Amino acid sequence: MVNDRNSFIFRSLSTLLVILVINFFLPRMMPGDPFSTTSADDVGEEIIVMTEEQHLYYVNYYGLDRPLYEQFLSYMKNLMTGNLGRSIYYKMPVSDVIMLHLPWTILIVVSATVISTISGVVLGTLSAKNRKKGSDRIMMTGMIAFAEIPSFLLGLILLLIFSVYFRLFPLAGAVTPFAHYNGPTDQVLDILYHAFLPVLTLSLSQLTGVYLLTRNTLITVTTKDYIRTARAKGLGEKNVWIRHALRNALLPVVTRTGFMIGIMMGGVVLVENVFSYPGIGMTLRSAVVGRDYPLIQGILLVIAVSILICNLLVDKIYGKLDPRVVI
Amino acid sequence: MSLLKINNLKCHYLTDIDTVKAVDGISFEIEEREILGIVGESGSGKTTVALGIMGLLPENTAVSGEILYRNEVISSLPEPEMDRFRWKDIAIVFQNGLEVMNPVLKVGVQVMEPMIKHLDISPEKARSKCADLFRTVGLDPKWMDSYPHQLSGGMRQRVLLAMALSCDPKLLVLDEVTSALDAFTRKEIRDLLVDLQKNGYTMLVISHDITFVSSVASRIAVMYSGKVIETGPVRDILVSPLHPYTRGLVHSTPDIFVYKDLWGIPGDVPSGDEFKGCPFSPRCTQRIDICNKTSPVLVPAGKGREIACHRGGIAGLLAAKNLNFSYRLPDGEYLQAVNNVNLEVMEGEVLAIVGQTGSGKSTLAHILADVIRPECGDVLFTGGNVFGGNYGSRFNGIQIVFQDPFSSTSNRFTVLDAIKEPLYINKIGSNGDRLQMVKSALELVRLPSNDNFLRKYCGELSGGQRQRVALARAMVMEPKLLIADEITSALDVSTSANILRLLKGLQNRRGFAMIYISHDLSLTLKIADRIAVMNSGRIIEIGNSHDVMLSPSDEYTKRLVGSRIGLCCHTH
Amino acid sequence: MIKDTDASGNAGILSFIQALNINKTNIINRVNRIGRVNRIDRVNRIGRVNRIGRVNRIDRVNRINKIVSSVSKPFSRFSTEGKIGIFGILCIILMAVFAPVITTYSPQRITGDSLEPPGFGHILGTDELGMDIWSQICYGARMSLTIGLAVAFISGFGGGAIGILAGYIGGYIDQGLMRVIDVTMALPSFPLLIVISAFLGPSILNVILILVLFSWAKPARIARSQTLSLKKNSYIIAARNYGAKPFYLLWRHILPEILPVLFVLVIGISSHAIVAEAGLAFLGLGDPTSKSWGMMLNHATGFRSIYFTPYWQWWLLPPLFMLIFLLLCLAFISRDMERILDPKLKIKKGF
Repeated sequence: MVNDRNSFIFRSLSTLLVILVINFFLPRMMPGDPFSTTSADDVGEEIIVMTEEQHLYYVNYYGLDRPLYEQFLSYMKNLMTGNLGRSIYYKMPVSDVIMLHLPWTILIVVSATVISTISGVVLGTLSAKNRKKGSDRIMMTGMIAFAEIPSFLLGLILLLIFSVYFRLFPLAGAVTPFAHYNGPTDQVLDILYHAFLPVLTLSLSQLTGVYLLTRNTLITVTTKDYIRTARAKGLGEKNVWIRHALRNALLPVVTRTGFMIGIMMGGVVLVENVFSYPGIGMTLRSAVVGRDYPLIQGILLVIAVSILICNLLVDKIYGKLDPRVVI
Repeated sequence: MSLLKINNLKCHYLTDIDTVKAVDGISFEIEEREILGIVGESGSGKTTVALGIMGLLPENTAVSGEILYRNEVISSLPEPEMDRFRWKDIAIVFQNGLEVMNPVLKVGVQVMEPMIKHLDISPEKARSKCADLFRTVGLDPKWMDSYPHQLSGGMRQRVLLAMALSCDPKLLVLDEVTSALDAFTRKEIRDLLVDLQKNGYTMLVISHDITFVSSVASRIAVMYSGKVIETGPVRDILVSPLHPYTRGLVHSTPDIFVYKDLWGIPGDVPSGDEFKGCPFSPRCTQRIDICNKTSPVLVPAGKGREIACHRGGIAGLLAAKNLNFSYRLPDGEYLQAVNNVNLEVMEGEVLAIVGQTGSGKSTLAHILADVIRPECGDVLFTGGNVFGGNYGSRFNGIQIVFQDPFSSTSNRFTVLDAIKEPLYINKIGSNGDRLQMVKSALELVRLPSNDNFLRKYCGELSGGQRQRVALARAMVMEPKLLIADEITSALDVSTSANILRLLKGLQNRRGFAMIYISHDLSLTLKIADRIAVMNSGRIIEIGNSHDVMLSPSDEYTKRLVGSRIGLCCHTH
Repeated sequence: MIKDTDASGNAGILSFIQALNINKTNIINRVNRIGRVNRIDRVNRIGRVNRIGRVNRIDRVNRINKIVSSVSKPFSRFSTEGKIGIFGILCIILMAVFAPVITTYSPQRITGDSLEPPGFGHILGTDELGMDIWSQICYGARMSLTIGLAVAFISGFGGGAIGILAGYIGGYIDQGLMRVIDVTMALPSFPLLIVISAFLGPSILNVILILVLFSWAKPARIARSQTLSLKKNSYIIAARNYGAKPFYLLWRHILPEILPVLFVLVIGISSHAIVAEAGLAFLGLGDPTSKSWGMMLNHATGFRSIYFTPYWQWWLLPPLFMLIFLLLCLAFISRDMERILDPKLKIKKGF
């Protein structure tokens, strides 16, 4: 068990390192000066023209005129001090741009995690309890079919059905633009109204995973001897299920929930773009399209760090929950 | 009123492929303050009985029959109703396995759980009671806060015991509680259980380990293939088992009769549910036709014992009554060689007749084999009179092997002829058949069966080989009773040992009864089930070999036993 | 959900697979035939579309041969979903291969008025620029299939080969490889995908390359763990005792065991690759000249008033449905294959 944790920390740190290195090297791998080629290939994209002054700033920031190791050192130094550079497009410090958009992403990712975990566990438990019945097989089939549709396509479908066809939900944004609120409740409701579909999409994409995991683990656990012992003690079905069965079956689910954030990072970028939701996913896209390198690197870094933090948290929590793991 | 009563319980596991009749109609009772032991091999259904009592059988089990606790039916209760009885009235101690306790909860918590639920006491009281329980089972209460994986196997078993005792159950069911433990821990658990019984607990001890069960229980029920085949007081069952299976079980257990060699029960438990007969019949040495057709029921057999066997248990094979024989000496005196002897031999048992030279053993043997006729008395063999019954000339009869190897076979006969002789005399089988039977007989006695050997003359063989040939000759008639008259006294030690092992192996496999005559005590202890001591024509003591040898009652026997000479590593 | 159906309806498909089996080696000869299309040839046409692919075609053909023969035996045990899946995939493949035949217009040229609704002439209408949507769909199938299959095969079999070698050789190479696999699998693939493709430029080659980089790790890991457990078998030791060379052992003993697992994985990887390519294109990072379905989605959702007009019904829905349909087919096949192959081999999921 100790071995596992050591390699786990190693894995997390090396992932971070790899991303940092990629972050560092990518712009430098472009032929020529990355900042003179800002052509746009797509129809309807803006062409960004930099002034000489901006150009000089970036050359300086990236240290393109200095030897490689010095560049890397200054890069690391900048990171430590939280200086992520300046966004070309927004003309603001990258960290500011990120702070503007990150909360929205956090909102939908966290909500989706919570919702999918809770519903997945509930449905999985019900499914495990009723596994012989026909209704369960229908549920399983439906779930599995759901899982195969990628999140952004699912989002598109939901968007088309609920926002376009039925006009129940908004088409874009996190809040209604130029809205006047009569109080905090109104504001919260508005936010929820806009966040509903993205959260639903993200939740659905993760739901099956949690559901299947809960169901299968629970089924395995119920065959274990200690469940029989608990029943023999006359503790009652509810007690047996919750205190003994779930308590053991939920351990892998907890792990998965922690990692879910990482898994969702891939989907959230696309989902935000489908719903035009102004989180860092959308920001990343516009940054990529507009070749806003500092911003791209900043967002990538934020994603990597957040995944790392989640992994570490999961590790800590799991250690508390399972006494067999040596802490 | 008995505490627990089981009436014709049947538990059949239903799978897609077939039905496993784990328990197939058993009935027994447990009185208060009694310890009943259930013994059987794995697969006999004992654990299913335990689970059935607790209502913990898996969903796909068809249960019929009744389980009565204090005259209340609990076998068909739904789950919530069953919970009323669980743990407060009936508690079970499972075998300590890897995951028999919840790995994420502390053991103290798990012991206190049922107390808090059933006894309605405060957590503090529960905790102190838990500490008491731990001390009762020999654990330091500090272990209450540890997790199952931090304890050793023996400690976990004790925790399970403490957990079972937590609500003061009236009936304690123990399922294989010592199987995975070492000898010391086993003894400690056993002592614990005996203590508990003194405190008034009623127990059902289930195990395959008959030694353990017999050290704790007062009564034993023996289960085989889902049925109870014998019940009775512990001592009676061990000393004189009625059922052939029980006998085999006792013989297979090293601890019970420490001097005897281990002999397993040949064959396997039958599978498939087409078979309607007695489940033990494929392995039974005394089966008759009806054994294949119907299953025997458990009937009382006197003295608090019950037996399920078409033949009423181990059947009697030979019964000799009032035998008398005297030799006329040259000087006109009569020497009473056999003086009013009564003897019984059961199917499949080894009876040793021990005595000094001149005690009349051989004479007795010869009478039993119809070699000489007694002056009075008769001998019955499977119901028919031995004298004139010609049991030597047919299959499944009586055969005798004599002492002197050099005169038991003719020098001028080849091996083939010698062994073939009884077949030839009685015109049994064609030439080809006879050859076949001779060859199998030779294989039985571990002699070569190739043509080369068959052509050898008996005169060319050694003493040990000749004795084997004589044995093969006896075996070719497939006897039900073999009388071995001092067959190894003329042989050296090593050869004797080999012949003896061979003989006993044959006897175990084929299941024939044997009367083994010898003056050598140590040797007889190894193989005999019962020993009869003869002196001056009388049988002065007869009984279970262990008892006769280790705690003789007669003076003469004591002297005989005490006259063993030779160095030994300990004093007797 | 999964039911066994009898084999009676499978004769046609079965013979098709068997036919596939026989004439694999003729692919090179047939590649340039324009004439009457042979059933076998049809499947091999994908080879033609894969002109861009780097892998030796003969090698791949042999592998296809092996896979097909190890698969065609239990074929009749596919469930209904599996059969639907295979049928669906075949339809899409046919659509891609026969695109020029079943479409009247080229997808690259403006052949109608902008945003015409579906009707005579343009089956699915036209897009904003006036290009026929139906032909875009058909030619777009090529893109998705190409990328999916190329990435899947390269990373599946390439990764598998690497895993087998690492597992077989052991030692530092193996340890090092494990570290690399661990890190690769822990990276957040899609964001990195976006970033890297942004930097390197949006060509098909780059996309395939990057997807392969992210997909090879899983098959490598599984192949490695299988190899490790197979190595312990006594028959390997016995064969080695008889003087067998490593290549013999790999070819004769290890590869046949691992191939079925890899095959299932390959289907999974192609699913992911198709999604990734669609996602990239959707974000505007794909090859703009290619008409992949993701690109169509990108154009459609980029159109300013797409949601306020009825145009989405024939511009947005077709590529959406096609994508979902393709993915579901692949999923059905994959699950069925897993179910069929699973009792015969214990599929070790990594680690």
